[in-house]
Amino acid sequence: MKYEDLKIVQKWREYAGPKDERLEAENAKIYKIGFVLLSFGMLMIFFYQFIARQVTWVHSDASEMPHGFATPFEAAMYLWLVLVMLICAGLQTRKGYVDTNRFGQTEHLPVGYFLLVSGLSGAAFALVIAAMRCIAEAQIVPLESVFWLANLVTGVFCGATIFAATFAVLCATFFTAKRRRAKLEAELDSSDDI
Amino acid sequence: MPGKKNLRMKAARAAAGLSQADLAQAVGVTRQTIGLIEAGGYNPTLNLCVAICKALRVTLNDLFWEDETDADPNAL
Repeated sequence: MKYEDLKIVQKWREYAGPKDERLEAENAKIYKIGFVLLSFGMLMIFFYQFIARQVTWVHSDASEMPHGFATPFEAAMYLWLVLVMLICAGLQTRKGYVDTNRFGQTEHLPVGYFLLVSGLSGAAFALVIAAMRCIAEAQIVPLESVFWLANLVTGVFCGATIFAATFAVLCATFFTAKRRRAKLEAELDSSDDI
Repeated sequence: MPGKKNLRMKAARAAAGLSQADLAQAVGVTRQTIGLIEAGGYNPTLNLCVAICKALRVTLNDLFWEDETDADPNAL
C-alpha cells in the first residue's frame, strides 16, 4: 500500500489543503542549509572534542595505553551522522546521479572533477585537523610546547587519507549511479507508453 | 526580482475578474506565489502553469510563451 493511499493521509490532506509548490521548494532549500550546518557543525564539534582529549593524553602521561577518546554515546552520534550522510549519498545514486552539475550524469568517470573535489576536501580537512590540534594544545600547554610540525604532519596525513577515501567513494557512487541510471533507462525503454 | 514580469498573466487575471487571492485559492497555492509569478520572482512548474491557465480559461501560449520579438523588441 502506498503512503498516499492511507486513509489518515488523505484525511490530513483534505484538512490541510493542497501544498504550495513554491513553499515546498523554499523549504527544501532551507532544510538543505540546515542539514549542512547541523551535520558538519556537529561533526566539527565532536571532532574537536575527540582531538582535545587525544592531545591531552599526549601531553599527560602518554605511557599509558591509548584508550577510546570518545564515549560510546559520542561514538554512536558520530556513527549516526556519518550514516545519515551515507544515506543521502545512497539516495542520490538510487536516482542515478552523483552531483547536480554537468558532471552529475556523464558516461565516463569525471576523474579531473573528482580529483578536484577530493583534493579540496582533503586540503580543507588537513588544515582543519592541524588547526584544531594546535588550538586544543594551546588550551593546555604554553605556546612553545605546542607540537606545531607534528600537528601539521598529522593534519596532512589525515587529509591525504580523506582525499583517497573521498575519491574512492565518489568513484564507487559514480559507477553505482551509472548502473542505476541504465536500469531506469531500460525500464523507460520497455514501457508500454512508448 | 530575478525573472521577467509576467504582465500577460496579470492582465488575464484582471480580465477574468479575479484577485491574486482568488486565483491562488483556485489553483491551491498562496497569494504570494501568484504575486511572485506575476512579478517574475518565481518560476512555476508546468503543473502549476496548466492549473493557472485552466483557472483563467487561457492557453499556456497566452501566458507563458515568449516569441523572440517579445524577449527582444529590437531583434527584428
